[in-house]
Amino acid sequence: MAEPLFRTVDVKDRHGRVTGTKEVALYKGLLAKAHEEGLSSIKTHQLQFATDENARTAISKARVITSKGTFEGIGDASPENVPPHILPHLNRMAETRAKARALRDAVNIGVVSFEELDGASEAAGPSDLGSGASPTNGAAAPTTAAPASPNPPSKGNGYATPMTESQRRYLFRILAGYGIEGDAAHQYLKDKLGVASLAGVSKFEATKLIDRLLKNPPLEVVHGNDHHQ
Amino acid sequence: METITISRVKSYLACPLKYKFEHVDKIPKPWRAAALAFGSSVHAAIEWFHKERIAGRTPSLSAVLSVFNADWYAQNVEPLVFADQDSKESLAEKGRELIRLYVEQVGAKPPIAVETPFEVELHDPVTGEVLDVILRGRFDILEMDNVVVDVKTAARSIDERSIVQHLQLSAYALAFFLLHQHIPKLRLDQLLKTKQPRIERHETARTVEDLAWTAHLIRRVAGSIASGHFHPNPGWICGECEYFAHCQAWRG
Repeated sequence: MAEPLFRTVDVKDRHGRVTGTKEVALYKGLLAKAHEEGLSSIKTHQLQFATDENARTAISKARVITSKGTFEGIGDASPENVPPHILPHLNRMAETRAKARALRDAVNIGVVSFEELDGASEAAGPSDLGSGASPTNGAAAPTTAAPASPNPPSKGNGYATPMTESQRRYLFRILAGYGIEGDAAHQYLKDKLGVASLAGVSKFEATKLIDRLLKNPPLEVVHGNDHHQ
Repeated sequence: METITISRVKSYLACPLKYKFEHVDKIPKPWRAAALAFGSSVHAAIEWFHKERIAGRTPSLSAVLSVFNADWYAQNVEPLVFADQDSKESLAEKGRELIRLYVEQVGAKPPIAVETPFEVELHDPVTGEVLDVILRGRFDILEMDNVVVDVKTAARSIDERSIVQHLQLSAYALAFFLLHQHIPKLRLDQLLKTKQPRIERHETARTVEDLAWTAHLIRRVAGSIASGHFHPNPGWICGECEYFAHCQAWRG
């Protein structure tokens, strides 16, 4: 069966209200059409990896060669323009966006691709993310207004993916930097996250807490004045 | 073009079927080996230590130990499977001793970078043949004078022949060569969790022919994965494999 080339997505305002719809291209459809038009090569090159020094902005360049010529696209991904569950995959999201842009030019599709949108998550599927990708339970609604809902999305969407081992370790290391260690750190996390066990914490909640702790020391530390680093 | 990481190349070579269970089928591991978790915690502390030094700070030993303690605690929030001779407490003690030795013995100059990501399109460094594979990875530590260092915890000292064949170092050298057009010096820093923990530093080198061999090996592995060649590789290590039950049920 032929891959669909377009789909319609909701356009939302910053409060999450649907204000209209928009037609977007789909990466799988673009790829299929490019193959139809004699796709011979897709090459990508990571121009910049996401690091703390560049505000975790990944930039990738893609070159697509079809029977019609050579087409290039640049893609970027940063915490400002991806949903929370894509945060661990910024480099690969930048690559996917670069490929989508190059493919759009190659097959002469003017509309933006779904994967280039701020809230796009279909690109987070295992095939596009490659190594280390975490499968999600579904796609978050794409939006043209970046901010996610202030309320954690309910179970059943991509945000319900469990906290990773790396996130758990990072949280404990951050707290150690504030002098909260061992059982005290464990209890602090359970209290802050409102859980009886850290096994019940989502990746989304962990990401939010990590960001918060990196920006601001825990209130207990500020008030107790025992911040040792 | 296929993209592959060094760790996946190693994983595939160790056992293609285990690779499939882990990375293709994405079957969750029923348990985690304490030895791997321990290595990650020591690694995390050393990475933090060097990043502080690169930033111009002088972290105290107690601060580095604090990073290790926190990471090791976090690793044990979910149960680990320990080897007979190990326990959470015994490994914690060995980890602290290894980090103390490491901090004491480290050179005065900080490294240039740690955990540096790279991505290179592979080609044969001798013939220039394009191999249609992208290799991704991270250099553990980059030091002055083009020294690339791999840091590993281990239960026993590595022998000379194994250092010459050390795939991670070979892949580092290949990536470095393709990025900078010269072959780096290589060093394996082994943090040995022996009864009396100690650190060994093994220097080694690669020729351009070694790099060509490594490049073709990586290409062949990437090709085998892409074409779905996944067979078991039975051996002594199977007794420690998280996917042993799946493997026993495998019928081709």
